[in-house]
Amino acid sequence: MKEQFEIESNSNILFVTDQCNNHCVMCCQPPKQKDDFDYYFKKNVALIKSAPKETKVVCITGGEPTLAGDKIIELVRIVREELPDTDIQILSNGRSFRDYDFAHQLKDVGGEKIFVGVPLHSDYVGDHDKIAGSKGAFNETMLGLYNLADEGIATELRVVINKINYQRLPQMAEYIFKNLYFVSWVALMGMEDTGYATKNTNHIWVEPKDYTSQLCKAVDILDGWGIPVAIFNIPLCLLSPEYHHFAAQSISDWKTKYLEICNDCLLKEKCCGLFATSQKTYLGLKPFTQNV
Amino acid sequence: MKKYALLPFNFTRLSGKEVLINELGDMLISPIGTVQKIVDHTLDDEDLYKTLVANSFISEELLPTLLDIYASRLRLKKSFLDDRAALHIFVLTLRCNQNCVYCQASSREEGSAHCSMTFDMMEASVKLMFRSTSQHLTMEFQGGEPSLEPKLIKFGIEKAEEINQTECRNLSYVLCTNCRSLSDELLELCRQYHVLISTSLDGPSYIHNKNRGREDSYEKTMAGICKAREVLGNDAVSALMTTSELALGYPKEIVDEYVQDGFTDIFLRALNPYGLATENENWDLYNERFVEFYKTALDYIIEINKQGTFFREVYAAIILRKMLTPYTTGFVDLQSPAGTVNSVLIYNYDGYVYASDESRMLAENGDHTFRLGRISDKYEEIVYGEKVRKIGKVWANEALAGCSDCPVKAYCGADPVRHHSTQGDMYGFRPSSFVCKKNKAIIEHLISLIIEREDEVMPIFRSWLR
Amino acid sequence: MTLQIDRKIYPDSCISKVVYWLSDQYTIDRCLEGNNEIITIEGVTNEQLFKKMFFEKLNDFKLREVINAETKDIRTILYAKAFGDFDDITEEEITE
Repeated sequence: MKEQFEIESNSNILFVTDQCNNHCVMCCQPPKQKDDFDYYFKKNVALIKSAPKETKVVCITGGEPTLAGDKIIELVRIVREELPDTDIQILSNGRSFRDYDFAHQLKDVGGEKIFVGVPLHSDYVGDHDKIAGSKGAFNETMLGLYNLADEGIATELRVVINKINYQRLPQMAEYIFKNLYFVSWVALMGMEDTGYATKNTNHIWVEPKDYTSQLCKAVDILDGWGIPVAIFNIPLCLLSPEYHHFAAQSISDWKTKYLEICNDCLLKEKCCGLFATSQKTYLGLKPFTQNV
Repeated sequence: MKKYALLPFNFTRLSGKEVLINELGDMLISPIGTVQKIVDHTLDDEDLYKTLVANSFISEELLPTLLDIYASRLRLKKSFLDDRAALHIFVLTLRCNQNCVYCQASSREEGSAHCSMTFDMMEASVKLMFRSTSQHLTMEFQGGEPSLEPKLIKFGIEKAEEINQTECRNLSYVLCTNCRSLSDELLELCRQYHVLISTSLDGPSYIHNKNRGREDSYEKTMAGICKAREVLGNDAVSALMTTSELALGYPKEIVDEYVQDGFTDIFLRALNPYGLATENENWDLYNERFVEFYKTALDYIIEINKQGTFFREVYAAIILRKMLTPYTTGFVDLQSPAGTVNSVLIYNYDGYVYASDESRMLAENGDHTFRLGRISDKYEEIVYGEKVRKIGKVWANEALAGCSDCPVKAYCGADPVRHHSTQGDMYGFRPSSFVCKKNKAIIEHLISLIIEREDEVMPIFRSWLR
Repeated sequence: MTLQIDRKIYPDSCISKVVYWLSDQYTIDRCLEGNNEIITIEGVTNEQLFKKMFFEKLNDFKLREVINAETKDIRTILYAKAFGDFDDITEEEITE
């Protein structure tokens, strides 16, 4: 974790807690039960106060940061006070926002430049709850998203692709357009093979090369409906060239890695590379030796 | 598969598939026999089961936790009701400089007197318009030929702008004109206030001239369109066509004409049984031929899109918007509750307010059923008066025989005015209703296209709806 | 031609709806005898085809009735939730 925020960085993290009320099967940062709200709150306030005023964006994350309740509201209030022009991104499973008052309080303190990134695992409640490791997760997340939309807080969806959900990616895309039409954008993400993901690998691992057809169909649907969509964590060599412009440099600098064969690749600079933290390496990688 | 409860939905069979449609109009295409299996709890396809749950056809909870979200989506579908009438049509005059064979407006000779709106009426009408609570107000000038009354147009716009200083609504203006007499002054007025031009172009000259009763009509219309585009920009000029009996034989030629003239949209409209058009007796045959014409033209339009040119059919786009998106539509003729009064009001040259465009056409033939009141009456008396309450009993297709059980009801609407005019009864008798037959045929055709040619047509349809 | 329909299987509402849709093209007479409804239709050219079509429609309306009966309550709750909040027009604003 950083000691000092940087103006241009997209990794200015305010880590709120290790606790979480979901237990996602592919969680790369397994939750811990310790009551750590106060400990992190103090650290975060110091980080905020020492941050340059021109800081572009801060990211509030965890575990599940909204479990901090009043403390998260207070944290956002302090960020807004100290850094009036900074975007606040909150990564949350959205469940706490089923409480309308909580969403309202967040809007009150956060103002305009705030957005919430929420993972969605499936269009089918049973699969989402299975992946989230918690019964009732889907319903609360959906209600939370609607409350956030009602309050005018921008939301983005993150779909981590795994063996349980990859076949329904196109159906998910249509579901998102019909039922979550208000989201600002959607990220379809390759899985980081660490933490619970490694532990559960037998029933959740699927090779990206085996799901790119469903992935691209989902991208076509969302893009066709005008919903901004991005592909995260999938190297360019696994994607057909007409989908390259959807791929983002999504892996944080400090955990990106390339293979030796990547040194020959013409698209290395544009490619997100691989997770240095992942146990497995994707199958089917090869460098682009000719221009596409 | 888990235990589940049913949520409201209907179904039909098209192209060898069962088409399930829920209360929102969300559509699900499934194998024949699916509905029976759902009802009998004998579903054996896990993926289909998941899709049914996800799209609110069945629920794993007796009282769904997400019912509030379903309700929220239903509200969005009907949100055209939130703001009351947004479209306000001002029929300035019956005077006209053409002689269209199917004139719905019963237009009179250019020089005749006593059939234009007075300035007082215009002022009173504009004031009535602002009584609607809609944030968006569209003033649409019609006739006869409204460009024959440029002073009235100027007066009306300026009066609206004046009142809007305090009202602060989003005002937009549309001039429905045949483009024959667009003076420089009138175009300058249009430029100043961003007035959109809506004109009629029935197709290539041999069709357009025959329909319009003048040999130079096509020439004059095209010249007018060019002039308007020069002053106002391409996007400010749109065209629609009416499918006369002659036109029925030329679907591709009409589409080609529109593409060549630089239009990106076409509205394939059937004849209305009003005004001079009632002289056409065999509506049954016309209706059948129109549906064939429509399918041929639509197919051709899809080919044009496949080859890379964006070109949209407006009627299909309205239906598809209801079918494929969560959004509401503002098109007056395909709404439930009906667009009459709820979405549109007409201020007529004769000093009266009417429930819809077609209502004032009925009045030209002496039928005042849908004349709601004088322009000088109070807004509440007009909009909440006895006549409107009578129409209100029959303006929701959810509560009409034939419609309430119809699987494609969500994509259609109620039309009390049309049913009164063609069947003598506002309620309407669906089995012999032309509007029902035509709408159902087109809606079912669109669904069939999606079933049979999904990969081909869905990207095109999405591009029409973005 | 005549058709006999068991009223224990097909309620009046289902039969009425099918008759409604056919009443434009055919003259139809209905008569209840005990548990059976006797329907007389004039103007049928192909009796086999007509019977098939009639029962298809009848069965579909029956299926719709089953769905409607099971979902009647949830539908009422849904519409109440969706539209029950609109109280911006008061009785005073609407003149008699």
